[in-house]
Amino acid sequence: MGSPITASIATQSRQLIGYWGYGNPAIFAQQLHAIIQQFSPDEWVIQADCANQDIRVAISASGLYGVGQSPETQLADVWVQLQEQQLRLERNLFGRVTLYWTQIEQVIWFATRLQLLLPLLTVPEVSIPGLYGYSCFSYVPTPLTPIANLVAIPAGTEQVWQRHELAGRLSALPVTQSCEWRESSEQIHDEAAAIADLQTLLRTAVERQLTDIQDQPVGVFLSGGLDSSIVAALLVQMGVNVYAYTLDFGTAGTPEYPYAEQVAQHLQIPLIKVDATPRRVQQALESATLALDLPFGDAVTVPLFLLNQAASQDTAIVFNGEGGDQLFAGWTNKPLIAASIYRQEILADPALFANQYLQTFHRLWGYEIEVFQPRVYEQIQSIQPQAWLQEALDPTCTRSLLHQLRRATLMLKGAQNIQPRATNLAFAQGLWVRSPFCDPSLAAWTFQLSGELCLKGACEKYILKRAVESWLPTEIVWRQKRGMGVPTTSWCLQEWWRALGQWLNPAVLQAEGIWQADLAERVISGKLGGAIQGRRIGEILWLLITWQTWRSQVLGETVRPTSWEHPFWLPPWVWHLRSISNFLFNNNYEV
Amino acid sequence: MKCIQCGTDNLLRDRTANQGHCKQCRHRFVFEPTTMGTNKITDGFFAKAIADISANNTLYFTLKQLLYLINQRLDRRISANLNGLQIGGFILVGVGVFVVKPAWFILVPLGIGLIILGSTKRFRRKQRIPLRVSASQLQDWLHTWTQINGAPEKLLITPREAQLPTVVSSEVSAYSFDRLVVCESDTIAHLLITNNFHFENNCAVLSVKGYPKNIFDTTMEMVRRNPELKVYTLHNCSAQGIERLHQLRQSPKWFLDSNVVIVDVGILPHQVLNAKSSTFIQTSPEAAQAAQQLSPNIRQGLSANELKWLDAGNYVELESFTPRKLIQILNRGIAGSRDLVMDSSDSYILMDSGDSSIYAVDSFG
Repeated sequence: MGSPITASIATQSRQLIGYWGYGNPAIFAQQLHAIIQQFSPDEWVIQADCANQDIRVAISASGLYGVGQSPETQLADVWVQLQEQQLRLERNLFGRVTLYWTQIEQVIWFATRLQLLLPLLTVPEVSIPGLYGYSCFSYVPTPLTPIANLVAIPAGTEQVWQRHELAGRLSALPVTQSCEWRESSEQIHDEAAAIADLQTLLRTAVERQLTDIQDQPVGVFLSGGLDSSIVAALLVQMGVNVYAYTLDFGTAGTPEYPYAEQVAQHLQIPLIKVDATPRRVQQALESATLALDLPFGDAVTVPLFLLNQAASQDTAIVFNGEGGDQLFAGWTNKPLIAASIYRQEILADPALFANQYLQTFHRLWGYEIEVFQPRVYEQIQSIQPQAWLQEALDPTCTRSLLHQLRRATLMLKGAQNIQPRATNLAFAQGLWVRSPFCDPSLAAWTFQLSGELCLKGACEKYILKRAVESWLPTEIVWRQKRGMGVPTTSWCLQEWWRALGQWLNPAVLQAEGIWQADLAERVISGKLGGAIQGRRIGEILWLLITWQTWRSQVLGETVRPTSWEHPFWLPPWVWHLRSISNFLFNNNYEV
Repeated sequence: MKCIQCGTDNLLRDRTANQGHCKQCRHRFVFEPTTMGTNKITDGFFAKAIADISANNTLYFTLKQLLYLINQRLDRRISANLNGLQIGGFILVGVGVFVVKPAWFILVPLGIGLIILGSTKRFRRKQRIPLRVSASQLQDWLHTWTQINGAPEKLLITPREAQLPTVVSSEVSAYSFDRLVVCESDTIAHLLITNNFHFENNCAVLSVKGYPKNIFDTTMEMVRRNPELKVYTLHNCSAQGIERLHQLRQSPKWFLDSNVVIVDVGILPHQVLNAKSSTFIQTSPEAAQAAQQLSPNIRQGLSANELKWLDAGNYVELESFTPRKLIQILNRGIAGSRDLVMDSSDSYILMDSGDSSIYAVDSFG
C-alpha cells in the first residue's frame, strides 16, 4: 500500500485555495491555515477528507452558484474536484474567475487568486515570458502568469492530475478543452427572425441573472454605450430597482457621461457620477493594483475600481455590459477587415494574420530591443508571441473572417483581460458581478449569425442595434461608439508629470533590470517609434506604470532608490525647450 | 569622424592613412567631409538622418522625404551659424561698452555689424529653404551607402502595381470604412498604406489617380455603402491641390451628386505664409499657370496674399514633411484640428499630446 493522498480545500464565497498530493498533512494544513489567516480569516470553510468522498467546489462571479448545486451548472465559473485518485481544475469559457496552480515537490497547490499562492514561494520571481506577454497585450496570456512557476488554467480548459500510488508521484494529464466557440454550420440570414430570437435571448439572459433578486437594489455600470444601456433597459423592464454608475474623467478628453445621463433619464433611474479625475486615479492606483491581483495594463482599470467602490456603498450586486463587443463584432474588428482589403495575403497566411492581429493590441510588440534591458531581451528572443494567439485564431473552428475574429476576441481580450479584471475588481469590493452578455445560449447563438448581420456597411453590431432600438433612445443605439477613452496621455503630460519621475524613475528601472532606464522619456519624446503618437503615448506609459506598481504592491518588492537624473522634475515647458534645442543643434556632425 | 560600426573616432590623418577605412574595425567610410565643399556630411550625419526620417526604423519613407530632411538639416546648421554670428555680435557690443578707447571704437561697430549681417541673412532666408543637395546627388550617396552599409530597411520602393482587379471576398466587401483619405499622389497613398494608416484608423486610402488600382473599384463600392462616410483630401500646397476638394465633388468617379462630407486636410497657402518655421517652397511656371487657371469661385475663396503666392508659381510638396509629421497632420485633421499642421518640426511629440485619436480602446461595456 502506498502513501495516502493528502488534500484540503478552504473556501469562502468568492475565493478558494487548496492542495492535493503527497506529503506531510500537518505541515500542509499549517501552511493553508497561515495563508487564510492572512486573508480575511473568519470566512473560510475547510474540507479535507477526499478519501471517502469527492470534494467538489465551484465559484461564480455572479454569486448565483451556491453550495449544493451541481458544479456542472452553467452559472459556475471555476470548478475544483478533489478525489482520492485525481485532482481536476476547470474554468468556464468566459474566463470571469481566475484559477492558478503551482507544484511544490509532489503537491499541487491551487487558488483563485494569485496572491493566495505567493506565500508558498520562497522568493517569487518574475516570469520573463509572462512579462513579455504583458508587454505585447497589456495582460499576461494564459497559461502564463507574471510569476515563474505559477500557472493559470486557461478559460474553457480543464487540467487533471493523477496519483501514482506506489511511486508516490503525481502526473499531469494533457490540458483538455472542455468547451469552445465554433461557427455553426447553419447561418441565420433572415433579419426579422434574428431580431426576434435575439430579443428573447437577451431577456432570458437577464432573467437568468435575477433568480435571487427580490426588492434589493442592483447597480449597473453605465458607460453611455450600447451594451450597458441594453442591460440597464432590460433590468428596468423587469421591474428591478436599478442604480446606475458612470465615470467622470474631468476636463480632459471627450466625455461619455452625457450619454449615460441620457439613458438614465430615459429609463428614469438614478445615476451616480463617479469622480475619476487624475488626482483620484493616482490616489487609488495602489489599492486598485492589489484588487486586480494580476497586472492589467489598460488605463480603464483604476476608474473601474472607483466605480466598484462607489457601487459597493449601495448594493451587493452590479451588472455590466462586458462581452457585448466581443459577441456582436464591435468596432475593434474593423481594422483587421481594412487590413484584409489592402493586404489580402494576410488571409491566406496564418503567420501574417497573427502578426497583423498582434498589432491590434498597440503595445510594445515589435519594440523589444528598444524596450528591454539586454539580459531580458536575450531571454525573450526565442519566444514567439504569435504562439499565444494560435489557439484563438485557429481557422479550423470557423469558416468566415468575422466569426474567426469574434472567436479570437472572446478568447483573448474577453476571457484573458476584460472579464477576469471585472470580477477581480468587483470581488475586492465584496460585490457580485453579473454580465448578461456572458450567457452560454446567447453566445452560442451568435455563432449562427451571418457576417452581414453583425457588420453591415460601416455599422457595427447591426443586429443588436436593430433588436433593441425600441428599448433605448435612437442616439444611444445608432451613434458611432468609439469606446471610453481614458485621457492618460493628457494626464501623463500634465497632472502626472512629476509622478512619472517616481513611477518610472530611471534609476529604479535600471536597478530592476527589466525596462531600459530612459524608456518613459523616449516614449514621450517620440523616440520609441513613429506610430507612438497621441493616445498611444499614455497607453504605453500606463502599461509601464501598472507593471511597476504591481511589482511593489503585489509582489511586495521594495522600490529601489530613485534618482534625479530624469526630465520629470522640470516643468513640461522647460523640457519642451530642451527638446527643441537638442533638435536644432544636435545634428551629429563631427569631422 | 566616428565610425558608425564601432564608434571609433577617426581623424583626417587616420582616414587618409587607411584609405577611407576605420582604423579600428576597417569599416569603410561613405563620406569624406573635407572634400565636400559647403555641404559637409559625415557617415554619422547620414545614419542619423535615416534613423530620424524612419522614426528609428519604424516608419517607411520616400527618397524625396530623405532629400528634404537632409537639406533641412544642412540649412539648420547654417541657421546655427547665424545664431552664432548674432550672439558673437552681442558679446562684442557688451564687452566694447565696458572697455576703454580705442578698443571701444573697434568692438562696438564690429559687434553691430555682425548682428546686422546675421539678421539680414536670416531675413533673406525666412520662409524659403534652398535645396543644397540635389536628388541625383542623394541617389549617388545612397548607392554607395547601400553598397557599404546595406539599403535602409524602411526606404519605400515604388511598387509594381497589379493592374488587374483583385477579387475581394464578398464577406469582406460587404463591410465599409468609416472614412476615406484621398491623397494627391500615388506615392503618398502608398506611403500611408505601407505605414498601416488604413489599419490604425479603419480608413480607406486612395490616390486621386486611382491607386491602388487593383482594389480601387471595390474600395469605392465599399465606402459608398456608408451613409455617414467622411472623406479627407490630403494634398500639396499648390493650385492643383486646392482644387482637389472641388474635383472630388464634381467627378462622377468620386462623389458627384453625393452629400458626403469632404474635408480638406491638405496644406493651404495661408498656413505656409503664417508658418513659424521655414519651408521648402518651390517654384515652377506650371504651378503659376495652374494658379491662373483656378476657377473663379476657388480664387474668390483665397486671400490676396494667397493668390499672389500661388500666382508666383509657388508650391510646397507633402513629401517635404516626414512620415511621422504627415501621419500627425492627418490624424489631427481627422480629429478636427489643423493647429499643428505647420508647427515646426517632428520632435514636438510632447506638446502634441492629445488623446483625440479616432479610436479609443477602453470600455466597460
